[in-house]
Amino acid sequence: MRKIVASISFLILLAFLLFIAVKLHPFGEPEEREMDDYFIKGYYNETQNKVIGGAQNESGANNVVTAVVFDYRGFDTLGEATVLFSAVTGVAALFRRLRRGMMEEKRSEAERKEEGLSKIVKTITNIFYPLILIFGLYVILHGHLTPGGGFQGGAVVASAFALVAIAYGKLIVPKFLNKEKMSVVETSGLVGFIGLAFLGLTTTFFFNFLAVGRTPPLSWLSGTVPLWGPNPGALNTGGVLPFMNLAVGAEVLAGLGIIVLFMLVGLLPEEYEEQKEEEKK
Amino acid sequence: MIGVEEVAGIGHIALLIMIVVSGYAAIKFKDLLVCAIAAAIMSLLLSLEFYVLQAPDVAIAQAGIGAGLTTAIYVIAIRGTLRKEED
Repeated sequence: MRKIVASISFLILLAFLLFIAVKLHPFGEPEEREMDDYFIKGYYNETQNKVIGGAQNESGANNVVTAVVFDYRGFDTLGEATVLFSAVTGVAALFRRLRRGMMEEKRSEAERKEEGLSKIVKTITNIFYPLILIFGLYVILHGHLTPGGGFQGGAVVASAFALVAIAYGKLIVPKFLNKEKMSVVETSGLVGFIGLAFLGLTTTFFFNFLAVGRTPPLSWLSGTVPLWGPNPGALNTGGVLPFMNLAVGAEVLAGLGIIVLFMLVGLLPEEYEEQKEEEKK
Repeated sequence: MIGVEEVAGIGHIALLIMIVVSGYAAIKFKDLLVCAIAAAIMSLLLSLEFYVLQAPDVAIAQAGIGAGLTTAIYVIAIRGTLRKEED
């Protein structure tokens, strides 16, 4: 019965996807919808500044999606960050059996080397871990210039943490992932994001007060006018967007890292208790 | 004569079929580790599909969270519970 229902639902999904793939509107010629008026007429200025066309001049960010997510629609990102924070809090509460002594368990180097997956997996992890880390940090830092941003880059960095945690097992985890440090990074990321939103409060909440020379003494920081051309790529543009990207990136990478860390070390606490009792004897 | 656009269209439809097949494999197998790997393959193909649909930032998020982190969390959870699914 279950198989029949699953097969029928998958056939329906397949037909639906194929229908969409065949009927898909050609790229570059979007249909006009009412929703488009919001973007075309603009948010700050009714006639001159269009969101899609004018985001580059208005906020100085080359990536319009990031300009929308952090500038025009900053409240949405605040809600997302808060949802992630409460999810991490829930995981930490579920796995609270993790005690302080378990994290800093003393083990010899030989035992650490035997824990985890095979030598092949560890070698591949050693090769790929720095590359993934650098790619994630690049995505966070260039969030206002290239596709991606704080959330995506933080997820990539956290997946590098998860790779090491899976490959090397739980005995090496306390050496490079510290619960207290990660929670400090996560909380300061969220507080920094809200603080940056409050700094624009002289005009509105989430006002991009640094964009394109709006605060003259500080405009060298990231408020310079982007260079002309298809890919300006100057890092000090975009107003507060790069700093918000950094804050959200710190929050996401530490939050998702904490989830993996808590699940891995909080797994099977009885096993740890037995090991400790054996050591005492 | 088949042009570039036809080849791209056939590739797109093959990608969608592979997504559905890997999604079906993710619920069909009894070995949960195999299911986690099948779900990771589906996430990877889905991120490729997002890239084809010109949403590269969503593709990065899907590859990072869907294919990377979710698989790791599934593997940890399977280690803590049973590997085989019961009938």
